[in-house]
Amino acid sequence: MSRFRIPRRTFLRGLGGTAIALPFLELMEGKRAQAAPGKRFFICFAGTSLGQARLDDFVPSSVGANYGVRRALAPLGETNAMNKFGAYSLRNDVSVVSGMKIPWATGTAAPPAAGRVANWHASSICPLLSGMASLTTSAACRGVTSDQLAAAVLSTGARFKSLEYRVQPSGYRDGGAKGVMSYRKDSAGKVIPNTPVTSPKLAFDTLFTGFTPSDPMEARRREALLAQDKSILDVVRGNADRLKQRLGNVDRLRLERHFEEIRDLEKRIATLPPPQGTTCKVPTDPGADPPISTTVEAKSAARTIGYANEDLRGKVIGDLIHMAFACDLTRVASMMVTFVQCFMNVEPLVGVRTDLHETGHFSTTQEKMSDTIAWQVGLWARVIAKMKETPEAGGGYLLDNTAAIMVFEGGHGFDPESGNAADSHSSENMGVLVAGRSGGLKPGRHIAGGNAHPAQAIVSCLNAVGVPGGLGEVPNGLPELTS
Amino acid sequence: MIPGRVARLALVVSCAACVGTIDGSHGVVDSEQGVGGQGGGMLPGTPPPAGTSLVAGRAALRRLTENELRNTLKDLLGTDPGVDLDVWPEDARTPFDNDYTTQFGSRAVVEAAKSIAEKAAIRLLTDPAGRQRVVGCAPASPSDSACFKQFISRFGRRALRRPLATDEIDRYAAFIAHNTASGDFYTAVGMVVRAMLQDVELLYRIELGTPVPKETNLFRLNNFEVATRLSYLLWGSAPDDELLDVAARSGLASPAGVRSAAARLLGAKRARERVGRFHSLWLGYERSTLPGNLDAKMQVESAALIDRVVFDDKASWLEIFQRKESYVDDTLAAHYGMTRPNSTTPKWVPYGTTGRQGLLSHGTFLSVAAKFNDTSPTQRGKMIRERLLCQEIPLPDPSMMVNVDEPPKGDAMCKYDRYVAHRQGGCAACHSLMDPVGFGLENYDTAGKYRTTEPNLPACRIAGQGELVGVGTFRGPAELGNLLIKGGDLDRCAVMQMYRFASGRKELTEEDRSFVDLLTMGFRQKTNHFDELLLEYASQPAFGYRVIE
Repeated sequence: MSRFRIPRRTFLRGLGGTAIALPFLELMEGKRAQAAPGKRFFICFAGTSLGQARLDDFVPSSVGANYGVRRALAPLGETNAMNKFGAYSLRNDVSVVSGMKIPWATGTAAPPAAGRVANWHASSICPLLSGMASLTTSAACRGVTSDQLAAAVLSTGARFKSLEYRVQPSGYRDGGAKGVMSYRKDSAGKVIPNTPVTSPKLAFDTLFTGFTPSDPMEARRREALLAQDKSILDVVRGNADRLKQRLGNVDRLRLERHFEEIRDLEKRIATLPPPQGTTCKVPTDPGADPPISTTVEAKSAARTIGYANEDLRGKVIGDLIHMAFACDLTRVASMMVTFVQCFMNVEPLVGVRTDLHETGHFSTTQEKMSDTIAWQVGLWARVIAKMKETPEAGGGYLLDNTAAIMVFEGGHGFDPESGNAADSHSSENMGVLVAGRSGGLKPGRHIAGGNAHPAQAIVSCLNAVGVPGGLGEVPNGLPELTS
Repeated sequence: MIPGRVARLALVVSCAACVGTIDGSHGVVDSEQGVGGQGGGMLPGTPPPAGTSLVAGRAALRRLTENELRNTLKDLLGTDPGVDLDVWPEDARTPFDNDYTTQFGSRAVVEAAKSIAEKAAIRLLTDPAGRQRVVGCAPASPSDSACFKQFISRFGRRALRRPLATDEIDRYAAFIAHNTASGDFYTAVGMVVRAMLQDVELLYRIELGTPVPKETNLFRLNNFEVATRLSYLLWGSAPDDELLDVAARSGLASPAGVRSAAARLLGAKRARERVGRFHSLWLGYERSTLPGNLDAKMQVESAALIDRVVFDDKASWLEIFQRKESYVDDTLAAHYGMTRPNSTTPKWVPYGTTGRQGLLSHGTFLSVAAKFNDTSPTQRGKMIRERLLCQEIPLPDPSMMVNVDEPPKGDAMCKYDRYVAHRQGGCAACHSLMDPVGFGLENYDTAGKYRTTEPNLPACRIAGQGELVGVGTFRGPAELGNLLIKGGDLDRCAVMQMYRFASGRKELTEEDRSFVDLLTMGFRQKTNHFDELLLEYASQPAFGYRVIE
């Protein structure tokens, strides 16, 4: 076994590519501008099922290439007269896999491998995102998620090991694990959540601090601030280091991540970001975050729902992810559009004052529910379209060296909890969207999933960017995605 | 991990509780030099006196919640940080917002703290009066290091909740070099604020303590750590100067000292807010599902009831469920069907013959546990069992599940009839504990309004008959309140929930439960005075110790 954990693919690429003349170590340290472009991994989650009374707004009208998009996937098309969530012409770049399934426990038996308990809401999350069976209805994952597996392989030398963002800033009623899609292990081997950043403004400041603004006045002001930041972080980190020495093992472990992030922050402030160029440009400062506001459902004064202009927030966060890839600030990003069992008010999007979750329970029409799915798909598609058009320094486009996937909380079909045959509380007929051409991915088709596990598609994406093996209890990818 | 000694002591406690010798069982704990900073934790820990009632709770290092951070910044800087805290990761509710098992370090926290600190510094520096108050001295020049160090020492003690050592002050004092370029004394002041507001010791409640000899994982907290525990318990904020002064005099080294400090804290308005917040988190109405116009009025109504019973009247806490009047204005009185006080501001109005009584009649309480578009007898019953009686209702075997709360899609069928499935077969065992409790409240909708028929189903008359199985039958919130008290578990559950809130942990060990029993005995002896319960809890010897989890 290699002691250095160099993924085999990276090694082979280094030997076989144009970068052969570079010193071996320099190549492996991630001095990537001259070498083959780094691989990127992008996963997006939407807290929705795929149908209300029926499923067929999500499933394309034909299998194979040139599939016909219906209402919920309208943003993938060349034109979109069905809803207002964009038309990104991505049918040749995105594969749709439909008809996937997460198995569930029957009776009092334990769930099968990578399966779920039969009670709905949140039981699909752990198997979907970590490939591990859920033993309760908690959304907390019992295993490391794909983005963190990817980061361990792809992120050597990157300014950010991975980015975790969530578009919906508040759960409006409850939150906790229902607002987390990324998990990793601490140094004691315990699986812990990666709390996402939800503020576009904070995300912008974090990503682009240190880049020089074009306005000379602003540049001088920022330079002074940066000098102050260096002194401040020096003290904050120094205090943290001294405190760490005095803590017992248990307390040190608890604060481990905090200490680590302080060190990372100090390091980022101390080192210059990559230069801006033709593709890497500091985006416009998004300004203050849109306010978070709550109201109640039109049909029930008893239910609080909320909106914080997630549409705008999603676009800004998408732009930041795109530019973080273009500037090579990171190689791995996760974007949680909405919470599991989402209480976001969809009125500004589809004109009905109800929450995303209730759209699956007949609070509005099937068409409007499909439009809320389309809105979420549109936010992901917007990033994919930008990556498709952004040239790589070494030729080709960002998307060529990327594996990107969008997954959804549920599908549509049998609900073992209620016994209903056609229910939104179901892990039958789940679907995923896959984009990118890294590692032999062949996008642009509608694939009938044949009850494959949706995490298999994630495994395919991981393998495509050079991360070997499976995800949790899901050992294999989905061969149809690469053949 | 619980060390053997502590577990054994827990047993002693249980026995002591049985013979009713709780009061006066605090032994004298040697006073400890209250030293913070680098030297603070170096004294040997004082073991608890033999035979005393010590059950030191397991505790991890707790991060401030959004609410605690807001209070802390307000107290430190004099202004509410407002929406600046929106970047702070949302706290999970379990139902309390301070469950440390749900708190994890993250880049989100570190970057949010940096952002919050920057904005707080800007706000302070652009407010000359506030700046003057916080800095505390008038600088003679931008390089006035005497004034600067005085500020660091004063502000640092409040921010980090302990005195700063000389070398610590010097590290911050070096910021004054940045004033040369700016020509402004307050450049470095802003830097100190930014540095301290993102310091680990501000964001987390660090409890180093000193190890107790011959014990595993048992630590005696120093005076400043006890001060921090106390002020976050009773105020949800950092200690004020007066409490820090008490700590500096080692005034919190004995249970009596802590008790006297706690009594002062309980006299402040902030303690009322804290106790009100505890109840609103506990019963789930902190984030109510009520429309805004009603919500604000009802939050005031519930807070006023708790204030009146606990603080103004110093009456039995159980009266929260028994008071025959409520604090309402004309709008709310009309909503509830009460006599109007002829006032647009709230007044105390008797419930009269409305069948209402106490907190269970409030829209806040009744808004919780709704499902679909109406009340759910199951959810209400579950909430009352779990939250008010501290009973666990297991999730059903999925193979049994039928969702009867969903309104009928075809012919009208009344709710009680729809629930028939819950009363049959394997469902009945658990549902008989929940549904009959909820059905007794069915005359009260999800906003607490009285009704006689189901919404949109005028043919469905509501019987309103309920039962707390094993205790008795009832109709409406007044009778339910009386039954909960009669059942005898309500006050113990209140103590248990207070203990969860105080210790920031939902899961309780056997030792925790013994401790809750001990506190419950005391609570009952003091005729259920909630302020006495808090005093009693804080002045247990255990309050000054920590078992590392």
